[in-house]
Amino acid sequence: MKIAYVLPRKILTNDELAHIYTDWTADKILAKTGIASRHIADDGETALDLAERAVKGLFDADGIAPNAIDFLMLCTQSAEYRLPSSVCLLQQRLGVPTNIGAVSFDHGCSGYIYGLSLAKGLIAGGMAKNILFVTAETYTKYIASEDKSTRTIFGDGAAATLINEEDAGRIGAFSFGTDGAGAEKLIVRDNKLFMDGPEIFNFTLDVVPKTMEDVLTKNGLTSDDIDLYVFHQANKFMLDTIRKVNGLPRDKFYVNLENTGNTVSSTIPIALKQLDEAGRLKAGMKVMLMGFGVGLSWGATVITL
Amino acid sequence: MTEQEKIDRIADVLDQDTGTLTADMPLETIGWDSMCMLSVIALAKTNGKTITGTQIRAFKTVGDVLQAAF
Repeated sequence: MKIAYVLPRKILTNDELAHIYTDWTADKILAKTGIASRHIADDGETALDLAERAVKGLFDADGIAPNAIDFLMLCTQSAEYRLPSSVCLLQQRLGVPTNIGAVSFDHGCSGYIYGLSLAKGLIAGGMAKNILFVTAETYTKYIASEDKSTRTIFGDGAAATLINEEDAGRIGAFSFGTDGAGAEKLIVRDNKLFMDGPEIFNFTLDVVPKTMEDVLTKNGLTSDDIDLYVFHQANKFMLDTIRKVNGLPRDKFYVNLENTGNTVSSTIPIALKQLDEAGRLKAGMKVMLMGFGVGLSWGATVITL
Repeated sequence: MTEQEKIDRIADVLDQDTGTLTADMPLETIGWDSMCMLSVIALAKTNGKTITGTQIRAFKTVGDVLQAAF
């Protein structure tokens, strides 16, 4: 899979946050969240703008012609309008053909996993061959200035992933989960984000081990077969706890959100791109991907590189 | 594990110096915040315990943490 991502130009550092929230220091924020800075969309900058930039970056980097795309998918909870669907606007901005399918869906932290499953299904069903899958969020627009616990964590960003027939064959079986009873634990109401951090943390600690076991079983694998775990980069403390509770080796468990923050549905593709750029992805490796959060919704798969 | 050892473990996860906490100490005096809550939930999890969001927001003292996390 070819991946590109973008982050807004505006940066919010821990020093700036520590100046506002005087009972926290920049070092404490970094130690607990693993985040030193996060990128924030400007007032006039939307998730659609970021999505467009991510795709154009992918096209430029990999020499992809817009007319090579035969299906467009956009995962965002930061839609441009209530209607029409943002993916239609994205089609026009990108100049990809008009005779293709395009669909938006509004998942958050599990969105990348669900997008991969939809892409795999579309290709397996013979409905598409080259799918452009975009994730884009501007959660920071929903965060109240006084909400330090979420303001320290979330950053804005977008990622574009190109999935062709060969890529789809390398995406394994999926494990999915949904529990709308937890909807109130992370919700935007009246354009204001609320997160019950302790409950989201408990949910994650409960669901991750079960989902790991399920996705391994569905792929006929054991944990020994997994070369790398790339989970939703929620925050460092949560990831460290997941790793410890599940006995996962540190060198196989990717954590890096220091200069991005939690970019919701884009954290996994950003992590994959960072790993690729660092030369850590090798042919034949098996990588477990897992997303979990708002919904409540979760999902996992194993890809073979 | 003795009660003092448990309190020292709490001090450790809350980034407090060993020996500075007592069971009757109000949490508000030690910088209790959302990050501390997650640390205590993680501590409890390693002890096979689950503390809900509602429960932890009602905690007043180090003793409340002690009772729930071990």
